Amino acid sequence: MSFWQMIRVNLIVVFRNRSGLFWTLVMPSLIYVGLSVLPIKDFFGTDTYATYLLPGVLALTIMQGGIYTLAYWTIDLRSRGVLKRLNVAPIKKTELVLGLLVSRSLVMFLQAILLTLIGAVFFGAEIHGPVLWVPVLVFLGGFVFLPLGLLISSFADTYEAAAPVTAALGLPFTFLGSVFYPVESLPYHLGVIGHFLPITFLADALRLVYLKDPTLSDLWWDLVWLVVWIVLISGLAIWRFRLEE
Amino acid sequence: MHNVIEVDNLKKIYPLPKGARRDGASYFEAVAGVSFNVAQGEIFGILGPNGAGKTTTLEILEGLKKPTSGEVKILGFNVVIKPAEIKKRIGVQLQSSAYLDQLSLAELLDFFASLYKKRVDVDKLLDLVSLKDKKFEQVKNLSGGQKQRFTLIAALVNDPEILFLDEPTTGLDPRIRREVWRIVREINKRGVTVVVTTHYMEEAEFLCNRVGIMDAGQILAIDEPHALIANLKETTQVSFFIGEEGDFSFLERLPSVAKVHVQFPKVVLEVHNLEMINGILEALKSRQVEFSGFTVKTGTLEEVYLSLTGKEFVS
Repeated sequence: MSFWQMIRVNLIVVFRNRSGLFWTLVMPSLIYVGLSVLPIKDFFGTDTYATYLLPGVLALTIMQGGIYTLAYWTIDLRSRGVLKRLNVAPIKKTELVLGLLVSRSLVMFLQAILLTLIGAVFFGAEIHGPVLWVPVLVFLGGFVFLPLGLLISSFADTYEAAAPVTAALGLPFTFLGSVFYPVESLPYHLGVIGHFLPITFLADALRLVYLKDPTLSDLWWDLVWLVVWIVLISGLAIWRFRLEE
Repeated sequence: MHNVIEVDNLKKIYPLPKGARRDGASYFEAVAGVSFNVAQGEIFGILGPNGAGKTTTLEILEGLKKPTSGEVKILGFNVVIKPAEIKKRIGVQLQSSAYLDQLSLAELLDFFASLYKKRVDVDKLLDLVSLKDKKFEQVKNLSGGQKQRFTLIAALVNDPEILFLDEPTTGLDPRIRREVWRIVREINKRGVTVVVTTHYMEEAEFLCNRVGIMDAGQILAIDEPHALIANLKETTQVSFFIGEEGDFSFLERLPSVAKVHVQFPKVVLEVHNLEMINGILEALKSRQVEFSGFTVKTGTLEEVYLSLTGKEFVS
């Protein structure tokens, strides 16, 4: 009951926050369109850079929704005392956290639909694999990066404290994580790091689904590693995340 | 009436960060061994200056903070063992409350009720604090007084047996303050026990059946407000102006007059017992003393606080 309420209220909060919603939907679209119109052809076996980039930007968007949007939102709620007010009621931490993760993952799925539509309409992108993999991977990605956002918020009481942490995570995720170019094209040592970042597994899996028609065994490696990251980060987040101060 | 709150030797100790250590102390006792009971149906006040430990005490009772030692039972449940059972049955207004910005008052009340797995008559609650016409507004569009009234009913969504109010009128103007008192009394009349912290003497005197005076983590005295005042020595002052100087030592011989200060043209008497005011008037009349500006000033909780702590009350 209160789990579903939590999801409903969360979605209301996201959709009524007009300026927040604008950036949630417009920013990834701008990044995608802006980079796709660059004259890069025949990139790594795809017809256009746009089709290669689409799954990458999607993974980037999911990452940002967790470590930027949710982390800052949670810090704001904590510093204003909203979390404390919720804790006055007999709520369960896991119910609150799960409600948050599911509702925010739904928002990410909406972002995925929007980006895919832009790709399909303007850049001829297609989903070659089973379409069902897209929501599954979006949720797996959400369940990696949303708890990571909660984890950041549990270490940082203010924006000022959170900013260097999100930057320290966001930058390698963005540039070493198979978003704009394959990890193989990185210098060796950076590539080693890049290979094991959660965003790499997410972007690679999405790319397989969008560009190829993968079997379960093609996706196996990425899926297993995503689950490993989920268990690791969620465990830390549930341990660290506190409702009380 | 049975006790719904039982607090026994409650302590809350915080370690001090290295930079904040003074005189070698490595910890700070926010609550230093507090004991009190609250009976069902009471309005119990905890009165004290900022930093006295009122909020910490209250938040331990509400299950928001863990006590360092001591025992607290709310409605028979131990706060450490059964915080969820307690939370279900109490209403809490925090010192400063913030809400999710994007929700209307009605949606917030619904949402809070759902956290208790209850349904709530939103209109009836809003009506109680005359906010029905703001039903679809967001909290950020309310005035300070309206917001405070809303936080009151937000604490009532689960139909609580005990209502905890942490400085419910701080920062409000006197007219709105009186309105909040009226609402709290109204809620109390429906059988809800109320625990309120305040640093307003007036609030404690007007609102509470019993008051605990708290300072530096300790409760110094607990009683009914008028009893606390009555126990004060020499707090009632009778003063008047005289037309000409004279010998007023006869006043000292009156029963229950403690001291007479004469500083022409003013005479001040310190009196133990208000019943003797007539006696003073009669004595003055029978000696044909001409006087004017006869004033009786009774004690206040302010003076109770002063006599207990030896400090001026600074709220």
